[in-house]
Amino acid sequence: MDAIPYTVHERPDTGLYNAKLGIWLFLASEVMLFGGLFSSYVLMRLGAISWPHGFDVLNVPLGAFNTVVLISSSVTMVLSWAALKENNLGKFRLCMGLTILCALIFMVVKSFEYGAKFSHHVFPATSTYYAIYFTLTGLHAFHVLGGVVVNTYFFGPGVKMFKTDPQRFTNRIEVAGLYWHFVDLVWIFLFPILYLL
Amino acid sequence: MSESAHDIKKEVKRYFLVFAALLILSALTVGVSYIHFGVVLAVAIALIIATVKGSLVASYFMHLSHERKLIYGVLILTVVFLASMMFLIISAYHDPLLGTQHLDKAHPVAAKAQHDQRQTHGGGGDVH
Repeated sequence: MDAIPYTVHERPDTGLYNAKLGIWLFLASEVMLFGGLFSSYVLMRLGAISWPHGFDVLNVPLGAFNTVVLISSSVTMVLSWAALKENNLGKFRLCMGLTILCALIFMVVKSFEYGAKFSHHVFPATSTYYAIYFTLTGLHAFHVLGGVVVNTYFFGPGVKMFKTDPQRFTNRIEVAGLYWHFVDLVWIFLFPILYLL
Repeated sequence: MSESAHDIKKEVKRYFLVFAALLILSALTVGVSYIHFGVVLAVAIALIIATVKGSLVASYFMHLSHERKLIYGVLILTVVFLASMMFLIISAYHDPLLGTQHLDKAHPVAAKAQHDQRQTHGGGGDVH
């Protein structure tokens, strides 16, 4: 028997394989983490005498480009899972590779945005707006990096499992996908709140 | 979980439709931001579009449109806790620290600056 039970088959009482329930509980905690920061943003904005318009101080085209990049990566992620369901390992590798590539593009663009701010001597301590901007986007960027690490493992050495235990590997990709879509979902809210309002 | 190849093909087609919808909504949210509505309306429109986009991602990419009851239970509980936390944090705006209630709530910073200035002025008067 495996160390962790129900990695492939559904547990009779929950109707889910264990990792799926696990990732959803983790995502629930993530909702609270980002929710706390979103609430802080609202509180600080309500209390501020003046608040810059995002589009006046941030680069909207770059932010919009990154939105498209992240949405595309979500699509390639779910396609990589679908490829495994079709037993098509080549297609899985292509889609997973594209997902990682999109994530890296996102990070490069974000680092350019940060770099531009730092070169203009704009830091988190500059204003309340920038404090929450760097906190929210920084935390989100760490999540993107975490996703890159996990997805790269599944793209590289982790893919071996597909030969020995294909269903379990497919489930792993589904779980990694759930996390990745959540990271995309957070950005869907961050982008208008920080860049457009 | 034994979808046939045909089912997967249908799913993939749906993923691309959702992708197209997400791109259109992204363009819409940027486009709308160039029209100068009032702050309240702008926030409402941006949040509605973001919520629709988020729901599409959650329903189709995260398969929430056909998930087990337990997951829905976890999410309902999360929403309750999230709403409570947001309410508690944001309500701090209407519940300033004891002794600061006289500050103008519409412009707390300005009111505080005015208040501080008055105190400094008053203090100077004492010295004279």
